[in-house]
Amino acid sequence: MKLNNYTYNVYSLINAPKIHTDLLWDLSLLFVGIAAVYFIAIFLFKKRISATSAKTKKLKQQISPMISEFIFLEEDATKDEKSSYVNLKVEIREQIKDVFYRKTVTEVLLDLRKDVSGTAQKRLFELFKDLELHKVSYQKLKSWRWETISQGIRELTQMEVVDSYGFITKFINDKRATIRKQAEIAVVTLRHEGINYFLDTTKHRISEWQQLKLMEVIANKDDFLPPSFKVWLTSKNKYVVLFALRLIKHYDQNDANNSIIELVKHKNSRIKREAIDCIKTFHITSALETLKTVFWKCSADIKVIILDTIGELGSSEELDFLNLIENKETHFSVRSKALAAINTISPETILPTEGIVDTSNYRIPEDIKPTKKETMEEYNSLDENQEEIGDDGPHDRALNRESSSLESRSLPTEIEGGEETETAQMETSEIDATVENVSTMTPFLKEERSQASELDEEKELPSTNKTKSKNAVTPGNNTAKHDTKLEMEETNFMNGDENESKPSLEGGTPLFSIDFLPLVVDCNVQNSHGKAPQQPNLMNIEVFFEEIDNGGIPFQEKGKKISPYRFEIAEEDIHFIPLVVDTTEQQEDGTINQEEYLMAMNVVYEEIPAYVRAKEDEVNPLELIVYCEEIKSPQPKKGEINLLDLDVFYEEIKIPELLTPATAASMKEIDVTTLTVIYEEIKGVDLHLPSLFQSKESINIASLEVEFEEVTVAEAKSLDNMEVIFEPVLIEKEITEQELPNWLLEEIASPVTAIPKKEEIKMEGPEWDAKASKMMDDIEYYLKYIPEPKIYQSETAETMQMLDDIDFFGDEREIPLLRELMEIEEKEEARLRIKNIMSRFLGNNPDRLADTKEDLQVQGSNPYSIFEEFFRHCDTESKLILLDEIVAIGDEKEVYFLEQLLEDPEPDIRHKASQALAQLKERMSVPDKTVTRTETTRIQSTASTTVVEYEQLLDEMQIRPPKESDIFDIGFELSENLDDRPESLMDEGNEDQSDPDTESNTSAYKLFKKLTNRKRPRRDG
Amino acid sequence: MERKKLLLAEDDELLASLLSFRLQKGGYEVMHVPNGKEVKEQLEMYLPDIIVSDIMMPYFSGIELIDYVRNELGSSIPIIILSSAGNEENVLSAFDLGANDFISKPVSPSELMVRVARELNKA
Repeated sequence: MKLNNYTYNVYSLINAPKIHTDLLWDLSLLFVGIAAVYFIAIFLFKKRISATSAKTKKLKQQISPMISEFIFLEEDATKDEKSSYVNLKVEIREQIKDVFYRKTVTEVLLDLRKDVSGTAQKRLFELFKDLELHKVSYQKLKSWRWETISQGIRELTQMEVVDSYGFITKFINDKRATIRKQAEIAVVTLRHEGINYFLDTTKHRISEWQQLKLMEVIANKDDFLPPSFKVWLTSKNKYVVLFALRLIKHYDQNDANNSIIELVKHKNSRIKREAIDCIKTFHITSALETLKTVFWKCSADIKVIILDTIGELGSSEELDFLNLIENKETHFSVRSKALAAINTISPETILPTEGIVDTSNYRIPEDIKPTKKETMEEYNSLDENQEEIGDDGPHDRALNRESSSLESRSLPTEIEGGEETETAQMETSEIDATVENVSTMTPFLKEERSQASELDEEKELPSTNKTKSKNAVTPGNNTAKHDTKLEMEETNFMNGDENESKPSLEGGTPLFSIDFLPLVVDCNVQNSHGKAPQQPNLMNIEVFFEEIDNGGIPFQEKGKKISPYRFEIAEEDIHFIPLVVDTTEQQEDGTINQEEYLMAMNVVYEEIPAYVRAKEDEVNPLELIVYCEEIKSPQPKKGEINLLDLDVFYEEIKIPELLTPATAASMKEIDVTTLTVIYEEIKGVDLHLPSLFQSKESINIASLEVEFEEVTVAEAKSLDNMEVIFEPVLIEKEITEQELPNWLLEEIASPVTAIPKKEEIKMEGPEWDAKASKMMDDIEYYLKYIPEPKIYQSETAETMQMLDDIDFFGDEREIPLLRELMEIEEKEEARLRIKNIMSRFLGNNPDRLADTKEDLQVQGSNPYSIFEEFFRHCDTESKLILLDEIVAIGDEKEVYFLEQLLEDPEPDIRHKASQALAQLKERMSVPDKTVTRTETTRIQSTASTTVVEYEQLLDEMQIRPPKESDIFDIGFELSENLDDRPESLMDEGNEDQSDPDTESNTSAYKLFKKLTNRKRPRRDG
Repeated sequence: MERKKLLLAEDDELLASLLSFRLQKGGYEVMHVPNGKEVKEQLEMYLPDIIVSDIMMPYFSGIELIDYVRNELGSSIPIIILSSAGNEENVLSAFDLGANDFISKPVSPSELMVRVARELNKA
């Protein structure tokens, strides 16, 4: 029992936690509560959304007519309409302060913008701005939420707020894709140049969809003038390059051929593909070499595109390359495309080889009566053939397996498979057709034949000739394996009569085939099994021949081999073939006309390499002999000119001084072959041309028989042997006979014959006097306008030259200098000139032009501050900064300038200037300006008085002052150095004097020296 | 002068409101119906002088409307079709069934006015 107790003792492995029942109740209540809250929240939200929607709808219904009023208000509206319009506007402006209302109005405008066009749309845009809703959109751009920013951009874009362009461009490279894409569309939409900015600045990927959208935007833009997108082909962003290529193609901008060709080498396959597409679109034939170069490193897809392009653009020069691809390339599509390209360049070069049955040896079925043994051999040969085909691939191996299984069952026609199988079926059918006509066909073969005919309903014309044939059109070596060999025992098809068939056979090759004869099938004939109708025995077909007389062919031409493609055949062999002869072209005398004869001529063409032809083109026409005798041209009619009978006379033109042996040789090499006579231009002459030239517009001289005579080139003659026609002239100096050359003496001795006397015209009489007086009057009239020359003394001339320079290069800053000059200058001309220059410089302020010395003293002393120039071209902020600088580095000149600034229109400047002036004065300790000027004048006058007195005193005392020393004259060291220049430099200086700039420098220097000498107080005093 | 009656069948309330406003301003008596079902009801009650209808409408498309007017009612009143761009097949069908004119969206209200006037003059 104890054991039993142990046995039934249960040990629980999992113990559920003991949870208090109240807690469970609490939890249940909690979850129920949460669920209730959840459902209530959903209900409330739904209700709220519905309410909002209803409210929006209601509001839209209210807003819609208001907006319609705005949109369709016409200029010729009545007063009431206009007043209601104003009231509406005021009302809507008030209401728009409410966020919900504003949002609804914006929605309405955006919705309507999509549905309306034309003037109504423009009014909508204006209304959007009038209601200042665009400012709300601007506020949205400042949000940190991507959806708000995106919405803002969208609103500004759709309502075409062009002013927002600058704000939106900031988002072109935003890291958030949605904002970025919205900004891209906005930038391109808002301004024509937006696409330029976008392509210039974008750094991110441009998705395919985005590209499509952008292109759509561009396409829908009015008056959009696309920029030259080639400039972005060099972009660092490959997506920009790709997009630019697409735009180039879209807008047919074919002016970037070199860049496009270069992009074919791009490592990105999409760019490469697009570049190739452009090349194909623009027919850039110069890209062919690059395409060939990059071909081998490309993927199969790109290779196919390249081959397609080469096929489109290429010429026969690309055939070698394409053949190479066809041989080397392993990818099926590429090889196939290469063959297609070859055929595109040279049509029908490559003919179909896959699944093609050799039909060259087909015979008429009823002529064949193969024995059972022969039939079996045919099947064996078929199997061999299938094995050959089967080398091509897995399908073929399957075919072979099928064939071997067929062989084992002696059922050779149970073949299924791909293309190769179809070939086999066709061949099987072919043999079956042969078998069908064999009367001694064995029953089992007949059965198999019927099975085969079920497989393939297309009946091939049977062949019984046992020949080996190859497809001659295979493009390369590898295609040789597709060659179909069909060996069959040669069988007499003319009722088994070997002797009769011999004339038509030569070396086992049929001399002609009669498979062009129509095959007439009697559908009512059924085979013994009651299956599909069998091929009829041609022997049972009744054929009616119509014999047509061939008397047109001359007897001597009969049987003559006139073409390598013609077969030699006895007339009786082909008497059953209906001959169709165009009797109208046959000549009455029974002879073949010349044209036919020429057509029948054997012509052997030899391919001449291009370089050989090029050499032949350079053949000297003197060596050309063209025989035209074989072309019998009809005799020219009376009055007509035959070009062949034209006599051409050449006259040797001697140019003694040029005719050296070298030039003579070059003259001989004139290429007459390039000369072409356009005989239409010879008017008034009825040319009779040979029939050979009738179809041409021009005659090449090279094709004419021309007799050339050897022309001996005259050697250069010495001067003594030259014929010279001279005119005697009087020479003042008497020349002795010894000084003259012999030939000249001879000519002098001989009478002058060549020169005719010039006719003298006598201008005398009243008529000529009147003309002369009129001419003189005219001359005088025009002379009035020529200014009289002014002759200056050398010093005055220098001054005038310097004044010209000042006039040319200077401006109003030269006024002080000019005033000083005016003061010292005594010459009236110079003073006048200075005055003119000053008046020109002070064009706007003629009042400042002072004539009196006092005025000069006052106005001329106004210093010029460099800061004046800066102040003219800077803003207020910069001016304030400059004023600080003036305080720091300014001097006396700036004091005057600052005083002027105290009257500046801007209060800030005035205030700052007054501060700066005070500070500067403090720094410089500059006294009042008026005081300074008076004192300066007084000191100067005192000094000048002192100097005069001092000089007088020295004169009285007969004391000579020491020589002027330049030890302390630092300011004039420059002049001393210039004078002391080395001789070489002096020479250069002299040469440079011809240069007006140098002249002006020199004169300016002299003037400067003059002025400084005058102003400088005498140190020795 | 009697105002011409125009039936505007357009499901877009905003556009319909805008066009109605413009047409009314142009001197037409406009009756707007938002869907094909109501169009049919209206046509059973009275026949307008001209119909301007959207192709895509709930219940009863513009194509069906033309078919109904031409074949069931046997009426030859001018019908102008509104359709979004690229809806070529529907437009061709509409013309086959006897629509008189076609305007693509977005619509220019001024253009609509001119076309309506032209069709009414023809009729």
